[in-house]
Amino acid sequence: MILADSKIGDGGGMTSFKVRRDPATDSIVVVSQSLTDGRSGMFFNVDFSPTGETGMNCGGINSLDGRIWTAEEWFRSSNASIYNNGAGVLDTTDYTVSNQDISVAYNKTMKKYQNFNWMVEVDPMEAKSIRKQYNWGRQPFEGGVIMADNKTVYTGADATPGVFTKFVADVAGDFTSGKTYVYKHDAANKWVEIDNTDWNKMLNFADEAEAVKATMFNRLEWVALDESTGKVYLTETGRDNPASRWADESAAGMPHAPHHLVRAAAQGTHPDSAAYWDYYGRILEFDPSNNEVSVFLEGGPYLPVADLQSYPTNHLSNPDGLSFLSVGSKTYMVIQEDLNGQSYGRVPDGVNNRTCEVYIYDMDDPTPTLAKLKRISVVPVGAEVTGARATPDGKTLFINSQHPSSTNPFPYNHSLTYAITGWDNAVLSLYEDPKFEGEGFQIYPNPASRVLNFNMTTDVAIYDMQGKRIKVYREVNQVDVTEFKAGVYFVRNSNGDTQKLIIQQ
Amino acid sequence: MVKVLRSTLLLTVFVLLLTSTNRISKKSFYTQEQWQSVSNEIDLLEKAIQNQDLPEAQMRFTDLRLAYKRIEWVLTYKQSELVQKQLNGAPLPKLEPNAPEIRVLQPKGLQVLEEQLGEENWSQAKKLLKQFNHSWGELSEAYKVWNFTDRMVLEATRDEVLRVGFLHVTGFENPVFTNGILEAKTVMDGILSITESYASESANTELVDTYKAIANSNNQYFETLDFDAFNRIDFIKNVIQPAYALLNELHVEMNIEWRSEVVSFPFAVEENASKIFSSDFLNRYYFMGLTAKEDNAALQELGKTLFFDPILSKDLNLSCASCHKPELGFSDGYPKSLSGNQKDTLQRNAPGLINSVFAEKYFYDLRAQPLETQFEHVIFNQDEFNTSYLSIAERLNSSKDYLKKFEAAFPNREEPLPNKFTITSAIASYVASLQSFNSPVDQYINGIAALGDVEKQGFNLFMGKATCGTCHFAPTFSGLVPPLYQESESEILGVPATADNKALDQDLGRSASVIKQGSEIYNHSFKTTTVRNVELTAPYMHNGVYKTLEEVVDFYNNGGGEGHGYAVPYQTLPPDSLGLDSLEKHALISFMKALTDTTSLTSKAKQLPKFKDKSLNQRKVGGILAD
Repeated sequence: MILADSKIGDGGGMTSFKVRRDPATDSIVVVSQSLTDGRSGMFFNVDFSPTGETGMNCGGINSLDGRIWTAEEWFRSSNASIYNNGAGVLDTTDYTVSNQDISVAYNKTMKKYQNFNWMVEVDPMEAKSIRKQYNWGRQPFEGGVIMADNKTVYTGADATPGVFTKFVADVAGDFTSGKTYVYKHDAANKWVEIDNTDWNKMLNFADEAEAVKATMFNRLEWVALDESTGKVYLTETGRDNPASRWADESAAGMPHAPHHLVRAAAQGTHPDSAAYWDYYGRILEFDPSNNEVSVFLEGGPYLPVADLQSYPTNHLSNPDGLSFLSVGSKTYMVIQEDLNGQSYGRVPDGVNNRTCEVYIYDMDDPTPTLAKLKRISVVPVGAEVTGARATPDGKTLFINSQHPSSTNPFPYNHSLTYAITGWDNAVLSLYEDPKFEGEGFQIYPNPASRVLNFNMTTDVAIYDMQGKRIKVYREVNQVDVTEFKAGVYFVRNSNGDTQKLIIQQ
Repeated sequence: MVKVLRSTLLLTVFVLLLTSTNRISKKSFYTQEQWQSVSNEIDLLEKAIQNQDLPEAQMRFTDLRLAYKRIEWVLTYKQSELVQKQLNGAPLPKLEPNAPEIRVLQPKGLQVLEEQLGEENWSQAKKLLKQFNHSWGELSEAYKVWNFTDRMVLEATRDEVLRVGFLHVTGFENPVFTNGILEAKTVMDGILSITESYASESANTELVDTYKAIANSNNQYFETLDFDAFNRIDFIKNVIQPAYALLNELHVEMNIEWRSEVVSFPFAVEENASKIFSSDFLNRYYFMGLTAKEDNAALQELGKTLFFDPILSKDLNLSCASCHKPELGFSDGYPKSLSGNQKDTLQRNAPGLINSVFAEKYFYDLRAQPLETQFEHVIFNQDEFNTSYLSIAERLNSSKDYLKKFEAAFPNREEPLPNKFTITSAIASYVASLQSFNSPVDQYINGIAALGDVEKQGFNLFMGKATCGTCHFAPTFSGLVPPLYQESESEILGVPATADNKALDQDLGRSASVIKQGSEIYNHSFKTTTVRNVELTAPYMHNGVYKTLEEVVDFYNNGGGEGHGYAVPYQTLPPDSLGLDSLEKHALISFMKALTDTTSLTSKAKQLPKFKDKSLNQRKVGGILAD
């Protein structure tokens, strides 16, 4: 294990470890291993020295054949900012690309900070970086996806404006040569090529996207492929008031994505006006068969809503991480939040801490709504939840909880990867309707472990065995009981009707 | 038999507990008319701005603020972030949170609008009012479906009481021509009428009497609306403190659920803690990784031993107490602390530690959070302890004395061994125990002792004319912001390099601390430390430039760095003189000295644990730099 490494610094990085499933318990176990460079142990810092270090690592790409790219996201524009007063990258001398794989960059010398903000392929088995994709352009990458042809790559840029880009390899599985495009919805064939043999164009990709008037989005984040349909989904996380960030580009002729024009019109304004808001973001659907981008599911809801009961129960804000979980023939979209703020209902009223949630959505249902999302996990206060990745057998979902509030009690003050196992058996139960039996105030299920339903909307108090009131809910028909310890409780509604509740874990 | 008894008991308890209210929507407290009146005032102000009529605009602006203030308690409770960003935040630039780059957000809302009106910058004022109107429109829509439970009303009104006492009467929100006292009166009248309606519903008639006494006092203090003459200390003692306590009592009396029964989030302010100027008011564990459950006397004692033990430093020369001496309020008396070689100095002044737990972030540049992560900046620093947690743990492991102490401190841990977690928890437990809320000022407000007239005058200046209280917030008198006490502020003062005030100190502070704060809006920005026990912690400021409080007060009185002619573009202190005369300065300093309280906080560890390695046993309590 590398404890400290002056080349890696604190600017970013990546950890690689190998897991296996314990057949007896189905749980996930981390495996000890030895790498060919002599390192041994369970967790390995990925060595980025072969590609001139790294920083600001965010999402990336997991290809269908198991290859991995990391995205260097947070855009850097000076050496000082990567050096960070000695707390970041310490070697800020110019970097010359010695790897011959990608001809446009070979032997090119650039400022050290310019060697950041690329998509970087790593070898997870050897915990070593392989190459930076200098032919995909220097962008604030967040996520991407490689299609079944093993040639086509879709990536998104986390910026306002953010552009949607495509790379098509000449040879399947070889991403060192091919063509690079940006999405332009109002162009005849929707994709405009950026010459990736021109080093300056790759270094200054945003300028090129502006020059060809690519379509503008408001912070694109993760990209995910629904393998069962071949459709691609992107999170557009949103930004409260994006106007000042894309007004210049708009004036230079870059078009807004049509859904922003529609939204702005509904708000009686224009995307370039300071009045235009995009608090919650959305999930976009891209159909490779016709190259159309459309809104799959808007975040929100924005107040006022017709149905107040549904208001805080499901509030999707600033979706960021995105992936799919397949269980048997069923496919579920896994949506992960990274809240941009606490206002406008992103957290409950009177709460001043951000809490991010994971939702899943059943892709068999062709009409997505917020009410149909099922909340499956919540991370500690302050944390961003991201990186959800299902195992191919549909049993386990790995999820990252990162940068939680450092005042959370141990271990909730640490970034971590957690695994939720058992989807193959349990996922359908999320979609079961409550079955109430008997007259009067009824609860379901009982015993309960996650969600408790009532057969009416009412005020409810929950008492422990000692008669101490421990929880109060107002006007609800469903409550989350995950945090209750196993045991016997009493549930009482505002009419004074009481039910005995058993919590199982 | 036992079982039967228990269930009978349960039923009885249920009947008692479930008389609790299920009344939703105390909408009568804030009406459609109140919302509409804000909209009306916006229209009137817009006309005045259109006509560029300053007297009219000032009057309309004042009315707009008053209309807004009447429902402020609702808005800030429900949408505090939105209020800060759009409606009534401080007129200072901020960084966009969670953005893909460092981006400065310009301030919006009433306070910056007031500045623009004051400068007769009509076009800018028009734009700002338009933005305010837009946000107001959004909120008015949302308000139609807002529900309020009694719990929320009581929480929101308690927050508002703190806001009145510690923000409004300081003129915190009134940069140019409006009057915080008039606004405080308007707000307080509204809060008291809500209090009255709860008190009158209560079966306990004593609470009605308490209400009446508070309301009478309230009227009395607001007989004058003159900013300088307002008697802040007695207003806080006789209105704010008792009103806060009464709202808590009503909460208990009516058996309304507490916030902890509804949300799992922690809050800094303790539930049902009625005394504001006391160590019961804020929950120390909110600010730490350590939880109340894990904390105990043995842990605190272990932390104290470690604090005074130079075993933590590589060369056995420094302990925490080398730079944080109990007799100096846990500061060290140097402008900048001495490094391990005793010749060079460290980067900045060593702040006192009493009440230091009550902070969102640590160091003058706010780079560490929470308390437990502060230590590693000392431990790993080559000029300080110059070691690592692994080395320290290895050393401590070789002492049976120490291992016993760790076992006692962590009774529930399978392996209570020295490691990063146990070491930092212990030191944090001790540092967090260094609390002081029993100074002459606290005793006066809590009705325990009298306070001299000069000190009272000093308090009123501190919280009024001298504007100290607009950054050093009561009751911690630090940058921890009421009413939630969850955010630590930093300020840009333009502190000079030397005491002759010739030039700006070049230390960039917060902007050079962590990468995502690297913006010029935080150049020379430093944490607002507490004024409690300031008598003991000279010299002052991040670089220890001033030896006396007199010099410090003069620096502020002369308008900070800008007042001294340095270029400090983002200075958060007004550049003009505060106009304090020598008697007022004297009163101000007398008040600050009445914030001294080190009761039972001055003891050192008596002896240090023994090690097998005899060479380690030569070390002294506190290290070689102590005394």
